[in-house]
Amino acid sequence: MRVCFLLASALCGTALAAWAPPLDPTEVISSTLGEQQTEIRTSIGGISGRLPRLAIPAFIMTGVDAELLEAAKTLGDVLWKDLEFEREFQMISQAGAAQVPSTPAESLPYESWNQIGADDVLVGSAVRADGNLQLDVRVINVERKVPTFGKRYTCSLRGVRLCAHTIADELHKERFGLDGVARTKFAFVSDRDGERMGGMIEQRSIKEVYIADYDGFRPSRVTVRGSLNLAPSWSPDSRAIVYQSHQSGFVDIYVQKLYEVQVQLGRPARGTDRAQNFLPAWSPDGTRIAYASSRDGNWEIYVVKIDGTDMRRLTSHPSDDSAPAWSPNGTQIAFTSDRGGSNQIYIMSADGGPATKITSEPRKADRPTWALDFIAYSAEVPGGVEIKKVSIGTRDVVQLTDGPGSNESPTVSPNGRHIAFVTTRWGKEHIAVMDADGKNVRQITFTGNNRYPRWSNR
Amino acid sequence: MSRSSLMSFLVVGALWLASACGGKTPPAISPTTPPPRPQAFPGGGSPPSSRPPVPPAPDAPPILAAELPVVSADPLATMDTDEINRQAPLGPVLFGYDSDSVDAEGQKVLTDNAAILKKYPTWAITIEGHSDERGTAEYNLALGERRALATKSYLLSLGISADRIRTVSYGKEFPFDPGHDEAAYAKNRRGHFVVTAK
Repeated sequence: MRVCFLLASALCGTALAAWAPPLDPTEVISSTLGEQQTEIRTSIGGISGRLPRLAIPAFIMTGVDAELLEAAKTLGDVLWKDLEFEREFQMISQAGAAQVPSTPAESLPYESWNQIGADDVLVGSAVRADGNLQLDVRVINVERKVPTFGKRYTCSLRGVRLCAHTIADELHKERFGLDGVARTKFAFVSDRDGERMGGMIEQRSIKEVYIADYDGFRPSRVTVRGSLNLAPSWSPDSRAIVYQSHQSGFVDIYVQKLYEVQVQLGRPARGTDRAQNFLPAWSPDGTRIAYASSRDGNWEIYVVKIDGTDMRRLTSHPSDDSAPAWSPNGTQIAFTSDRGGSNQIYIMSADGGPATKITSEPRKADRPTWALDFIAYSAEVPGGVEIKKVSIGTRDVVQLTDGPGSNESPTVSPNGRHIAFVTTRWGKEHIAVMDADGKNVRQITFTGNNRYPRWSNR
Repeated sequence: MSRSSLMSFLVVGALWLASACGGKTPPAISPTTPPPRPQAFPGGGSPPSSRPPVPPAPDAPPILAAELPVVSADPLATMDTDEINRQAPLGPVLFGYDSDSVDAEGQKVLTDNAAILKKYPTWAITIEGHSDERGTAEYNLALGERRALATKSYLLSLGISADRIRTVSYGKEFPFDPGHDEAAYAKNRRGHFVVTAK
């Protein structure tokens, strides 16, 4: 495919692209551009033993309308942050990259890029095409002067954030074989809309379930229950959630598809005021929900199929068992129990049976969340709660947060490299993200009180 | 017709009657005429018949036309549930840190609450279990539930029917005092009563 840049690209894009309707903001279409070389990681990593330094000069736009320029700026900013997030590239600051003029890939000033230390330069150019944005992205290796990544994307102008997230995920996948999380989302609970609960004498804010991109942008409210709604958990395809709600005057768990016009709620655990159900967790194979229920007197762990059949009780103990979490392959369930005198994390088969204690916190452990090789959890410490993780294999424990404020409710990204959690360090309760080693904490929510984050599965 | 709507019907009737009677027309007052005395037959002779006189028709019994507005001796009886909950006649049971046991003070509160619930046998209630902000959100949901159930259990032992009681845990989601000190925490660890029907 002929590469077209600047003024030529308008004509070229029109000639190449058949007519297509404007894309939905949730759609990005990509195709691979020619002249691409792979296997670059080995040579660079092997030579230098350090992360490749990547610069992203401003995107080149054909046309001068404000919408296009705004889109270009957003694309560059979001892509830079997405690529920084996984820390596979050492990102050259945008101010640093701005010292070198933006040029098409053919006329890259290699000497200038070399001088500011760039190993790779990501060159993007965009043009309007049929109401959408047609975007060519290339990553050029400065030393070898060749493109190592090249794709043409068609994006909705309103969906440029998703466009950037897609480019980041595909670059991470091609270059490093990494499943990036730029297109994943959070579900969480917030009182940010400030609505009051009806039928109450006290002033109580309703809490509804929201979803947002992994960086906290594009938040949207997905429940309108006018009540207290907590503890969302994603379906494996991340197109539905299950959560607990007080909307009936007692606590039950509700299944809700996110992208349906008609909101239809399933209530697989069939709660009543004598059989209340809490803290649901959707199984990795999508067929079942694990949850805690007091239907037999005290809190025990149950599983039920999505359609409400085959309800089974997995634990049977006079102590409370709660907060079930599936292992990634669905064969085991971690949960919290105070059967040993204080709340600790236990593991059992997904069919029930004997449980093994895997934490020995001096106070309490709670809210296990399962990554491939570790379980992160909330640990009570003097003065608050902190996030810790325990290795599945060695049972070694690492504390990941140490204030400020209280830090709880961890949830692990699907690639296991990041942990989101709730912190009070910024005053109200907000959701933050850190690397799985506790470094690089960044704030994700900024309004209201926000709790119960859950990272989507895809 | 429920008791409260009957009351409002009567009150409206009384107001209508008061306005009807209290207008420009003064109330009609029957002159108190002395009862008719037996009169001597003209001529002093006997009456023409020996039959005793026909007794007068019995007086019509009084009809209660309306209740006039009064200040009730028992305000709780006439309030709706929102007003009752604002008054909060059923006191909260307060709990110790991380505890779900009803202590002596709590038992006293529940004895008083049970007496009120026996006086108003139609009331239905929800007992809400709440916790302070310490500890994880998930743990406090379970703790709140244990507190609500312990409160209910003690009320059952005092003879209140389980049919009248629902329980729900709010964990640490709805603190009564937003403070972050022990004084606030003490208020927020509670079994809280809400009257849901009367």
